[in-house]
Amino acid sequence: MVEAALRLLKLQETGDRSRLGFLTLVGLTILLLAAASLSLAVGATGVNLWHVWQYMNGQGNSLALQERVVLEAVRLPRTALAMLLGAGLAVSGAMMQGLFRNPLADPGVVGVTSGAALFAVMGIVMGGGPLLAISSVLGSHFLPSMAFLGGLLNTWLLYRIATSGGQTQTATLILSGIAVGAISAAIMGLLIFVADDRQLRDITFWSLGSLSGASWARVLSVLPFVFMVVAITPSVARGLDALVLGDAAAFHMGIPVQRLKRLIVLAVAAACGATVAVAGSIGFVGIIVPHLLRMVIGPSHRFLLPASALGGAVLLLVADSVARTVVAPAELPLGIITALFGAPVFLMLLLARRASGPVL
Amino acid sequence: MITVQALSVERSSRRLLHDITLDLQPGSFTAIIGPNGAGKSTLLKAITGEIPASSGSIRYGIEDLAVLDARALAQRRAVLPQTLDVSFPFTVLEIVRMGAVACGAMEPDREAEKALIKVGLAGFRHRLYQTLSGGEQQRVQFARTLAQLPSPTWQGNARALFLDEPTSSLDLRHQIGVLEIARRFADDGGIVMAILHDLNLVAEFADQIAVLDKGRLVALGDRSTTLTDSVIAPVYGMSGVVGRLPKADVPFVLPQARYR
Repeated sequence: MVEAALRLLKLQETGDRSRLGFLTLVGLTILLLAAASLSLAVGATGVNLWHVWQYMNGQGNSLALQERVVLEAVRLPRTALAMLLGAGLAVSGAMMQGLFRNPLADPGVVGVTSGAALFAVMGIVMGGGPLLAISSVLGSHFLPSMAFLGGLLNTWLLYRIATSGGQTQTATLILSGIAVGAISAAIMGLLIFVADDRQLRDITFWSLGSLSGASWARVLSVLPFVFMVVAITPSVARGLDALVLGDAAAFHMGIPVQRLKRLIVLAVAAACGATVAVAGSIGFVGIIVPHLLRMVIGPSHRFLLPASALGGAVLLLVADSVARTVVAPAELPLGIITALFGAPVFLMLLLARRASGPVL
Repeated sequence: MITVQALSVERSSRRLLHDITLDLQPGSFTAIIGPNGAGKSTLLKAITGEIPASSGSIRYGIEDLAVLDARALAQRRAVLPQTLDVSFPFTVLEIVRMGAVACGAMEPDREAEKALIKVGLAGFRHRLYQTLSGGEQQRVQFARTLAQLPSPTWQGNARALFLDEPTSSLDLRHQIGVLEIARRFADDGGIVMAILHDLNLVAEFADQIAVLDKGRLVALGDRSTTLTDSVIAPVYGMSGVVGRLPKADVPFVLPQARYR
């Protein structure tokens, strides 16, 4: 143990953190298994870790029908959804921060999330009126489709505004993101103003972010998006590292910069739209997880991106387990818990940057 | 060889470069000199492929620059920019390694180490880039550039090293150290092109000097034909600065005098 620690320390001296990154991935995988078991074992009903163990060992038949239903139809999809959303949110946060060369950048900050939220609210308020035809055709897919569309629209708008001559300036992108987010918030305010009481309740509950509606259908609807974001990580990691030195330096080192940026913007929009669609806005996961990981393994995206996927999944599993237990049998909205963890981290980052120079 | 033929660059209907023609031969060290705003950086950016030419052509060997993609270009040339902010806490080794990875090195760590030894920063590999002084940062970036070009030739073609004011943050000794490494790269068959402001260093290290003024190439040749009062005086608006000593009570520092 001591010898291993010494070896790690020596690696630290060489300036190479690859071994540390690899060990962190192993550690996070173990944590993920533990967090998933915890998530399966806690909740309002009496199903516990022993039942989960029996179920996993193929002794599901010995469980009572009610226990099996709780596991298969409630706990398993919820656990799967928490893992997928956590991984998608954290990886897209890490990617955006690399893209904008700024540890404060987050899909929530640049307006992608608010676009998705706006369209979801639009769906809630107008689903029974002007959009009745579409909502009745799409049924339960109506709200997710709307949110996804809004995320894409805002990303597209952002890209059109902040990109000129094929070049995207980071400061312009962040500022336009704030503007696009403000417009979305304003329109959302208008919609809330005209909404009736029942719609208001829907909006409020949904905007706090929750996994309580988890089902296998929802898991399947986000799976392709999260899979896409996680699958492109090996091919964008080197490009994102080079991008930290600036667009020109990345190009000089053989990175097709504009193509890389487009790919990342699209992937992030897809992942955020899908997330907002099934769980409302869950903030700060994309900021906390990459930030904590950078402190341990450094900023190299080769390890940061996969570690963020694992870390995001762990964080959301734990946060959701807390959300389900602290006020059981009721549950807290998940977005409140991630914000309670995340907002202070965001502030800490801001203050640290203010101390060392300009914030943006 | 890199051939620049009748190159012009326009930006928002302003002509930044007019009709530039020059060759960068393997084994040569070309210095671009000229006053601020003469178009030196624009010329460097056009030749390295960072900005497109409005007219004219640039060839790397027999290949037109326009058909080479980013990856292919990265094998043929590396560029040292003026200054770089790095927004995340990378270590020196991690930064230099990016250059080695860009050229597809099998052992990027070894290549990075070799480049760090060359620039005299062997003991700095674990340091965080942001904690270094401006001059040290510039040498780390120089090491990254060198790691991208592990040999001066590749598949029979000369590789090119482009340096944008490589000595701007360096003390006298390191200015000469960096230029000596570049000179050796050229002597081993590579191509070097550097924007330099110190004409004494230009006189010592460059064998081809391109004098730019208001976007035009006003002189091209070795130091005996370009570093003359008749060329320098109109470009910089100062006459009598070439090859004369100051008044007896003013000391002066000439690095090239060390070999006398």
